[in-house]
Amino acid sequence: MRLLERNPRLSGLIAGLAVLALVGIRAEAQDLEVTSTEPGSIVVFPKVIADGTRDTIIMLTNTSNLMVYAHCEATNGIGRCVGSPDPDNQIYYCNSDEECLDVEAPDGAILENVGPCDLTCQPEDFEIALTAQQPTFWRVSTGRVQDPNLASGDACSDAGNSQMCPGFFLAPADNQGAGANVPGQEAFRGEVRCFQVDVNGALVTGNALKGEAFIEHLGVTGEGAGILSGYNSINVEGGETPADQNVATLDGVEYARCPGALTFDSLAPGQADPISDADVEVEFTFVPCTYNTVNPTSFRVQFFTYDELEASISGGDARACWANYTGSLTGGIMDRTTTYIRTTAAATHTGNCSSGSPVGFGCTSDSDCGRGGVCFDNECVSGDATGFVCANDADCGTGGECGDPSSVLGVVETIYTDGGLAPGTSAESAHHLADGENDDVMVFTGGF
Amino acid sequence: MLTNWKITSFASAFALAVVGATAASAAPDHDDPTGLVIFPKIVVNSASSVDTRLHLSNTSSAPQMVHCFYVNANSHCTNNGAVCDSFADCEDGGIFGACVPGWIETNFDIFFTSRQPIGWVASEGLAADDLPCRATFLNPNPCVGQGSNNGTRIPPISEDPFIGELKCIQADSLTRLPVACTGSTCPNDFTGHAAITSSTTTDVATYKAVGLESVLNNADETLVIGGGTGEAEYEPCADILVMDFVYDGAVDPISGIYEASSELTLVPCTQDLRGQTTPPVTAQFLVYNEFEQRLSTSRRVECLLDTPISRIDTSQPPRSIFSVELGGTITGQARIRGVGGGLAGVGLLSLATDFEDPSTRVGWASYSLDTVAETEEDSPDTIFLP
Repeated sequence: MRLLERNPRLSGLIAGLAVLALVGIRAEAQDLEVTSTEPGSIVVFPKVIADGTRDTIIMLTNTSNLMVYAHCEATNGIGRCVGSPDPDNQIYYCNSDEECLDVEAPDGAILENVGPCDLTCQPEDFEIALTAQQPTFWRVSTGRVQDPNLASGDACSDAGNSQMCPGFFLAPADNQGAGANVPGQEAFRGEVRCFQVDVNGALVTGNALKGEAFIEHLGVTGEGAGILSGYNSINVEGGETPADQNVATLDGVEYARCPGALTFDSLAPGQADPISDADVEVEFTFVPCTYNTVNPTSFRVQFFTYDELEASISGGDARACWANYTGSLTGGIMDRTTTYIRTTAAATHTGNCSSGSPVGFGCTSDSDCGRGGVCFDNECVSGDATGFVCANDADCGTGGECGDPSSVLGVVETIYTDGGLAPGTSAESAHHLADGENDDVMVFTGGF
Repeated sequence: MLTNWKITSFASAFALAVVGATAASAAPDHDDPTGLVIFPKIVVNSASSVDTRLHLSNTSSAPQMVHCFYVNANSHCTNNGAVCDSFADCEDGGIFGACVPGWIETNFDIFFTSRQPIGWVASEGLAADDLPCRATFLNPNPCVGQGSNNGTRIPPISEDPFIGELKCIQADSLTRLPVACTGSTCPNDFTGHAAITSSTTTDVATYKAVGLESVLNNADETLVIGGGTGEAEYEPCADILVMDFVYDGAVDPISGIYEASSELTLVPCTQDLRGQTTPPVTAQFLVYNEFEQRLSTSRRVECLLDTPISRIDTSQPPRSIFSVELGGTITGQARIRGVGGGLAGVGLLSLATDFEDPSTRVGWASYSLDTVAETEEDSPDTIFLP
């Protein structure tokens, strides 16, 4: 202090340093991004399909010169009608009980009351270890198991319910050591997200991970087999070391904030591709930025579409944990007369039904939650009940905070149908239109 | 005890470190709307029914304009002027000419109404009656909001076959140059994507355009890409790009039948669109397989590099370091460093009966390359506008 009093220039200098430091820290916080083209500490694949018609290859790469560990969660976001088993073991997918009331069988017959819809958003976790600069991949329906004896250059081979491929695949799940299996996913339509962790399974913000997903048609040669969609993973950059080893706070300090709105460039559903003349359908897939392995996060998406005549129409919908909207079914808002459209999507400020029916779905008022339902406007962003709906901070336990609901991340996929030919596909992740203002929280359990 | 000059030096270094860290954190952006949009791969070939659909969107609530440049990267024969890939394509009357790399730009303007998306097919262009919002004397406001597309004339690409790129710069509608701006006042309103279509399959490969955010502009004809604070007009280009890929010739793990074939397209960020020249950039490749084994190679990028990855380092794909026979694993990672300038690019994965024969392709998908380092502040890229 005496030094500062003696030297006003020095005190000014130190004050300046403090300001610079604060500016630097603030700048660093602002610079954290959710991006599809830079490595991150959380990697999200919003659309992963392994449902018997298509399968997905996930590529995950360590871009750093250090060993990296990833804790991954595969969350099945599609429900199944489970009330009346079909003798042919046909799976009927659903998003609600209502969708199981009348179901069309493959032979065209209408089956009644095959509900209820089992939509649990059940996550399955697994671990992957990547050596310095190591790329790896696995097929989602089979997972992958290590076989060091497989000759390089060979094709992958079946290993019971899994798949062995040439290369080095270190998946130390459940302390089983190298070569343990990344589980295959049966009848899966959902998301995969991987968190960069340390050897003990605690979150680290190393920003070393990136990836791609390739969704491929199954079938026989000449009838669609090999048709691909591909998109880059959505990567959340990390900043300061997380305060909790299993809770990632996307507040712009620990991790980047999720975008406030998304925008997609696409052809308009129902229009013809101007090159091939194929009929166009568009699918928008969303996952909530907030994630909790114990309590699935629900969200409500509001759409706006703009066509080349600048006309806009809006609509919205609420879903739990994962949503795949077909463009032609989103209330007709994408039925446009021009070929090209731009669609923006954002999570609206909504709550979750804490009672009534359907529990856990997005709502804006109690009436959305059915008779006797209560719509809580927020969810716990910290505290013992992180991820659960809340009315106030007290609902979130000691030191908990009741905050805004989840932002969303998304992917758009276009399907091109041309007569009797197998449909072509293409996909890409969304552009980000606005910076997010809300904090999101991702919570997982487990670890090495 | 610290003397004042030492403290001052320390403070200066600290300040530089802070500012440097901040500046270095910017990167090419495929996700946010930006003021400079790059489509690295535009391909048209009517003989093989390949064409590219382009899509640009104005995300602003005000009318906006972009000044665009098609860059024709075709090579041509010295003896007859035909488009060629190698001298073998230049046989004419029993005499072979040389196949010389070319570089021709064609520029045009697009005027957008507020929040308007516009798309076109590269081989056809877009003009006159096909414009969505064409104002006339009797109908001065043809669309819902402000502005019209009058003044827009997108030409078809200049040759068939065509390989090249498209750059679009958000600009002032009168000067056709970027508007003068600082920081948050700089306009960054455009997103873009491209879709490559082939009649040999119903499949389509789309990718998001590379965007460079405008951070400062003095409204002149020289665009500074990267550089130090007060100098940089746009975010820096990538110094190191990362491409995940499936080794060429690897058997697809899902079908168990098809072979993988990947393509890489790179364009240099520095271009003299006025003088129709581009300084060559050397792309250095570090290739890692799943065993963390590393191989490397280099390749000059003159104007544009568009090649199957197993032809980057050799004319005999099975001998390439991008071939599964050398890679030994299904997937790999390539770190691509631009020496002599920044790079932008895009990757493409195909599945085919024979990975060396594009006509056997059954499906393809395109994807963006990741940026893991940006160009240094003391070596910015530059685009000179005509």
